Amino acid sequence: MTGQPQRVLLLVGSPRGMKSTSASLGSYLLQEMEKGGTTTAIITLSQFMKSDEGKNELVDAINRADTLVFASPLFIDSLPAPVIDALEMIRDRRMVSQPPWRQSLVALVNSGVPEPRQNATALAIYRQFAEEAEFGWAGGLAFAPDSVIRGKPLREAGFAARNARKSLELAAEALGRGGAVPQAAVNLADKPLVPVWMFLLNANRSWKHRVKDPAVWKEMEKRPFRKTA
Amino acid sequence: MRAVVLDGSLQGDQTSRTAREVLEEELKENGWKVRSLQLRDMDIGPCDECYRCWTRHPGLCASHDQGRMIPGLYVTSDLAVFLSPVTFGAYSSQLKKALDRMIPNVLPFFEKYDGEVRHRKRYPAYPKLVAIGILDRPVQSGETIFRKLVERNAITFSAPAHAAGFVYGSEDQESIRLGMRTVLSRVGVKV
Repeated sequence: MTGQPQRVLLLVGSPRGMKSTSASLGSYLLQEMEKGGTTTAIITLSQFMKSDEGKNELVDAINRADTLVFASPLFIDSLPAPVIDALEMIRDRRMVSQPPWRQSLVALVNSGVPEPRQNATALAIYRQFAEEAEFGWAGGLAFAPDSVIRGKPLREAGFAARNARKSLELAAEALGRGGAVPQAAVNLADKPLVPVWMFLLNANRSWKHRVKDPAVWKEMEKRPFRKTA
Repeated sequence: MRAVVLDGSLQGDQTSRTAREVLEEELKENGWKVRSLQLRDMDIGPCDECYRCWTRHPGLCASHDQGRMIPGLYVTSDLAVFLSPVTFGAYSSQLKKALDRMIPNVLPFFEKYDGEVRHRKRYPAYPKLVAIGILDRPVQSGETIFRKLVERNAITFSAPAHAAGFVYGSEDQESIRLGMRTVLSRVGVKV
């Protein structure tokens, strides 16, 4: 990459929109980049993909940006269907026309399991999209903090989110200089936020609080479908 | 033996159509009951992460569109086949919208499996998994991602066996048939 990005567009790919962990991570990156004078904007993909008018607005916003930041959760080892839908549409539109300047793409993926490496395939998909849609690949970060952040602003997510914050700060600094996500940021994002045993204990207990109805709790392992001969 | 084919092909994709026809023929001629779903023609909304399939009515999706039947069809089959154009190395949005609706088939609770964390199984057994990627021509980077994705899906869906294969636009019907037999044999399906 060359040149300093002036306009950065965050595309939030979670169905929870701005209340999501994806939005928390992406917004933190943008806030850090704003400190260096970068202009930023945010779009929630599911909202804009509902209509042809929304798709046109989405493409217009993309065409005004220097850098795109996709932030999405891991869904069944990949990106959520509405994100794939958006990527297909963006790729097809870019085969017809695209801005004359080289745009770059950054991807942030987060999941509900404690090992960030489970996000590797999703990041590879974003990278392949960047190549096919003719964006410069500026790197990706895989986080596993969903149960730690739960859509809270990253600044309020406490000690456990410190590595995620530091990773995004390093990435913002490098991207602000026109560079790519540095390896140090990747390494920090890769660090599990909590030990696996603690994750298992807390995550499995948390469902007891989320299931309000005791009758449902008794049937949590119900099997509604059975094979017939 | 039952097979479910989740067809994530796009309108007018002749290669996918031929691949699906050959696959269905091969399975049916060998005694399989095949249920194929043309996903692009179905009313399947996206998963909105409400988690009511875990917290309100365990194992059943809260949305009452056609996506609600996918988990049942899947888990009551002996073989599941994903058919999709290779899209950035992944499945098309048409196939993915169906797969995103499959979380009722696992429990919200986590377990450690083979060195990493995954959701616990809801059912004692799940189907074997075969994924067929459709491409105009061989594309190494896309195929590598696709194979990895299928491998990860096999863990997520607790598939007892899995395999990925590719069909290219330049192939004739007999070449596609041979490829289907090869990929099915990798999961122990004799055709």
